[in-house]
Amino acid sequence: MSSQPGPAQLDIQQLYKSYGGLVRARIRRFYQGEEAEDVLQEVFMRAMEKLDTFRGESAPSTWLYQLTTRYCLNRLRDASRRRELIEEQDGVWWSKPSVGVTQESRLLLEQIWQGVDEETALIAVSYYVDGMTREDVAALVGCSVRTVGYRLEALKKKAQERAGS
Amino acid sequence: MTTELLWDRDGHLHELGVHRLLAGELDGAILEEVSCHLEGCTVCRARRDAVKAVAAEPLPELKFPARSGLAQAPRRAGAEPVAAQASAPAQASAPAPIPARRPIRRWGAVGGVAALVLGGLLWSQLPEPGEFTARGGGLRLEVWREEQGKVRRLQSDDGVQAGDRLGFRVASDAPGELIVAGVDGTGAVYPVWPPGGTGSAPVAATKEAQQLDAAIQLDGTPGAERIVALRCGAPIGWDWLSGALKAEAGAERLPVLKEGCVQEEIRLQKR
Repeated sequence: MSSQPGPAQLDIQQLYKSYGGLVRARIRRFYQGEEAEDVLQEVFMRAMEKLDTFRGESAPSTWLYQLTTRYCLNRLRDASRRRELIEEQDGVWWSKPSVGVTQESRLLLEQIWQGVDEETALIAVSYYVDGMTREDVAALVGCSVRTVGYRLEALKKKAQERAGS
Repeated sequence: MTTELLWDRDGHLHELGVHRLLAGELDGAILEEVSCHLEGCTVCRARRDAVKAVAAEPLPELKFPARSGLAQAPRRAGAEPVAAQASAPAQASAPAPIPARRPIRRWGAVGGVAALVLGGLLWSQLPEPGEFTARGGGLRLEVWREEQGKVRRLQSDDGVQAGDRLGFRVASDAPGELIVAGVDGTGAVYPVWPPGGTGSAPVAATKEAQQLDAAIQLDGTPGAERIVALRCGAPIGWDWLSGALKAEAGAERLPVLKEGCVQEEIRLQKR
């Protein structure tokens, strides 16, 4: 049996009750089945740890959305798992983007898994997979629109170099 | 810098936009704009419905690790009983599991016009039980509808119509006594499982959802159709449950029917 929840846990319980279903929907873009349920628990553990950093500048759904996406991308950092995802063309999230994926986007997405930092991965997924505008990506990630542009250009250049090599 | 965090580059709601909509964070002119767009956009409606369907699934209990720090999965579903069952009286004998994928046996009118218990449906097309793992929420009820020879899982608030044939699956993370009943738009209560209104039957803890040996066909009674599953530590009488459900027939969402029991409800909208 778990111990009595403390104040932070009470807050996280409220968040979980209100937004757990939406978080699970986001997780399903990365994981399926029982693993997705495990990740749901893990994401809320992370949210509990980070609750102090949530100051209400964004809505809870937005905060949890970016936290969930970051967490899932980090969890996928293992190279073999990344390769699996790329090879599972019909299996999981990035083969089912919100907007059409061009060949260039596909190259960029593959690039995401090969050593970019957490923030760049989040920017790339938000832009290429979720189809967000640069302004929305900047708001989600918490950086400037210019930074988003720089990161995307750097990724694109890197992908083009790889494609040409 | 301000941004609505709603629209993607193609002018559709992006996934976060859908989340914000479903979280009820939009209001005023923005909500009106989104609602108007949804009416005419099949892409956005599909995105919204896909997220909504996942979000509507029952949530497992949130477990906290014994010490702080990011934990790996606290547990697999079914590893321990729900808290409500911890204090339940011990069962006199080990309950039998719900039979999996057993064929439905009979037809019979139930509850006047409310529904028919069916036999011989095409539930053989239900996905294998291995795909349906209990998620630790205590009790999970799944409702499936046969559609043109195929079956599809329904979520709360999904639309149904007269003549629809429904099948059921239940996952329980603890043993107990289970009963499933339906309530139609007039408040009439009818037994779903066990069929015949004989009261509850024992179930074992099952990691995978098990198909119930029962199905119904909806009649033309208008209004919401509510399917309720209840698991308790002791046998549940049909008369008691029927009375409790009738008393709460007008409630938007059922209150706790019996302390110490676990319940699950799926509400369908009959068109």
